[in-house]
Amino acid sequence: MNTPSPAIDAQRIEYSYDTDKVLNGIDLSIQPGTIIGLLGKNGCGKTTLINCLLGFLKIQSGASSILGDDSWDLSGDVRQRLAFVPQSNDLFDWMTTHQLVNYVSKFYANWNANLVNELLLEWKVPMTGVVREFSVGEAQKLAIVLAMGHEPELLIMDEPVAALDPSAKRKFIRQLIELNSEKGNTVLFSTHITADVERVAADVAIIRDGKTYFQGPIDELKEKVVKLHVTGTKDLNPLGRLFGVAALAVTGQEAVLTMENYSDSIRIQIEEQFDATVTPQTLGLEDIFVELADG
Amino acid sequence: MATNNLHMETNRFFPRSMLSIVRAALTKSWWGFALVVLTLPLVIRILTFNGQEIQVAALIFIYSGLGHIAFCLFGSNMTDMAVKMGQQLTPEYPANFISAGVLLLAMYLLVTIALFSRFELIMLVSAVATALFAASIGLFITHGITGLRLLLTTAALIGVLLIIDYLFDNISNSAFLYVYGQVYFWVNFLLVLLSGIALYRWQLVFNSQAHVQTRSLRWLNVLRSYLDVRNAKQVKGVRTGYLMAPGFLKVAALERRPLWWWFRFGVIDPGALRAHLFWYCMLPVFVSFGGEISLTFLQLIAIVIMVAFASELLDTRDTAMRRLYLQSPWLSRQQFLMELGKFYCVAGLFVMLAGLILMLIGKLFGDNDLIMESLALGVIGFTGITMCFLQAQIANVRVKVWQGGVLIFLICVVGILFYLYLRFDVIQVSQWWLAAAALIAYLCMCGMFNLWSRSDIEI
Repeated sequence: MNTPSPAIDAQRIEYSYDTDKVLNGIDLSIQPGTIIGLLGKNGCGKTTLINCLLGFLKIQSGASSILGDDSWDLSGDVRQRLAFVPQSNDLFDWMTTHQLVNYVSKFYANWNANLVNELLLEWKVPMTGVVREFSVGEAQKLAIVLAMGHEPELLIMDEPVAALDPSAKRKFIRQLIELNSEKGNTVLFSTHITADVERVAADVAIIRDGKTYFQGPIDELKEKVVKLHVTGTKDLNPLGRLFGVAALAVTGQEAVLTMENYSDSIRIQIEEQFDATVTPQTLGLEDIFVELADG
Repeated sequence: MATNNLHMETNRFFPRSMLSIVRAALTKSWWGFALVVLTLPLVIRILTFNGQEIQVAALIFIYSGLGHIAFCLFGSNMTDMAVKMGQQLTPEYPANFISAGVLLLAMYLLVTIALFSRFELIMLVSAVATALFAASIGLFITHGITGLRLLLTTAALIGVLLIIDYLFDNISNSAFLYVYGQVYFWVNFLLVLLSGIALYRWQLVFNSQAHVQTRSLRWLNVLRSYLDVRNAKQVKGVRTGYLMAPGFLKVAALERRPLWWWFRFGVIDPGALRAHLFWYCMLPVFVSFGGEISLTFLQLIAIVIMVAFASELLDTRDTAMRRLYLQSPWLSRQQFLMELGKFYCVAGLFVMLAGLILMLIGKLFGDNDLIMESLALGVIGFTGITMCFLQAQIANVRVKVWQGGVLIFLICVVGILFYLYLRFDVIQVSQWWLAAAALIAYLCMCGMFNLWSRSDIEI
């Protein structure tokens, strides 16, 4: 059985702004139908990565393709099948919702007017007044509706819900993902809010130091990054020399360490080497993010 | 605790946030900048003026009128900021709006006293009274009461004339006629235009063409919005200050327009456009101060506008461009960039045409020459800046904001110097040579866009 080609395939991408190397060999491979959250600290290169993937910026090293096309030279067919919602509001703010929908719809042959109308109603996007009178959240909802109007196979969103309040965010993002998973679309959305990812995405990609630290199911990440509580009779400071220790705090005969590559064999190794009792603690995504960021 | 602190802040009439609001009111928009620059010739005129009572009264009238417009603008900026800071004392007026308004009016009062203190006491009193009256009305209009703004503006200006009349012993009519005498052509032109629109509407109504009625109303809205300086956030549902409203351009007709036509949505910031239009409208008023110097000033401004507008065009709105690129699947990357280039070239022609119209308007007020030369210098500057930026992008060199600013400034200075050398006969160049150079420069710019579109340009 043939494996479908990835919707997004990036290999060892590098990109620098003058002397500031933002992407330093990122790999990312996203299969069709995947909903994946792109996580990383502010300024870690999430937006730059998306801009490279979409061919707005030219990667300086490596290779990148979207729906089978080279990112730098996307064919018309591929551009019809994808949609992008940028971080900043790029809507023409002197248009009304109706005018914007009318304007954008003219660009697409397969515009689904019914879907757009339903979403506008469902998400309570204002239908009167021009966009510059909208709140940031309302404008962001409208931008997403416009991106979904032609039912794209691949939807890329750069911090799509940052402007929404927590309650609206929860409801909105759940509906958004449900809608796309029903149709088997691929969704990549960047954020630095881990709760958004944990709530809706099965997969996560974490960018750290310009590289992909992890890409895969969230559960796998939780199994991999674990906090260990160690109690022993020997000096516990040498624990820091173990491979994969992201953080270590030793207080007397007790130590708390975060392991990036945890497995049972490591636990057994610590127990034997330090004559200690080891209690693993599974971390939430937010804790993992904080531990890795601080580490 | 936090709520309590906010409450305390809310109930103070002079919260610290008022300073931020004042600063934002003065510096927030292009409008404010344009207004300050436009007011400078008037200030210079006041400082150097030694004329009769009628002329002083006319100056006070113009000064108060501009103060009124300025405070309409400041008021809308202030309201915006006050609302953002979210502190309201009453449903109508946030406390920091009132205190910031008081501070701004105090500053205006001091400036007025400084400007008019060299005149007799009665003139100083008249200037202060009329200026503060007009400014207060301007400030009041921008918050809350929106439906009556045109009426209030007219009433304010009549009020200014009445105060002048009272203090100067029935001089306002003469002062008004003096101002009108200086700008009569422009005022008459506007009146004829308005009459034409009124006649057109009357004819439509007479023929019961209901569907065209809407269109004619749209035109009136455009005209009204053109005069409206308020922030749109204060007048929900009413368009303010945007001539390029999509209703006017008929968005539904997308397929009937060439693609570059629609790129205007992506590349021109209507705010910047509005500011430039404002310049075009107001400059003839300043030409009314007469003399060769004003006409020279007008030509220089036309050159600078033409040159500086290149930066407006080149300052593409990134994310909007990116969306357009993704939305244009029938165009390859190269074709997309070429369409963009076509738009720049056509928009450039409009800029040059606007510059020419501005200089021709100046010609109506006096016998000025060097029109062809000024236009050619503007075109060469415009194309020069464009080509520099294109070349940098082709060579993959990132031009920093300050570097772009310095480049634009230098090209403006060279253009101004060249103009002054021509004006004072330091150098003599045939106008046809300059015109030929401008044409060649424009064609080179068009050609460079072709090269540019074939290069690896990041969007």
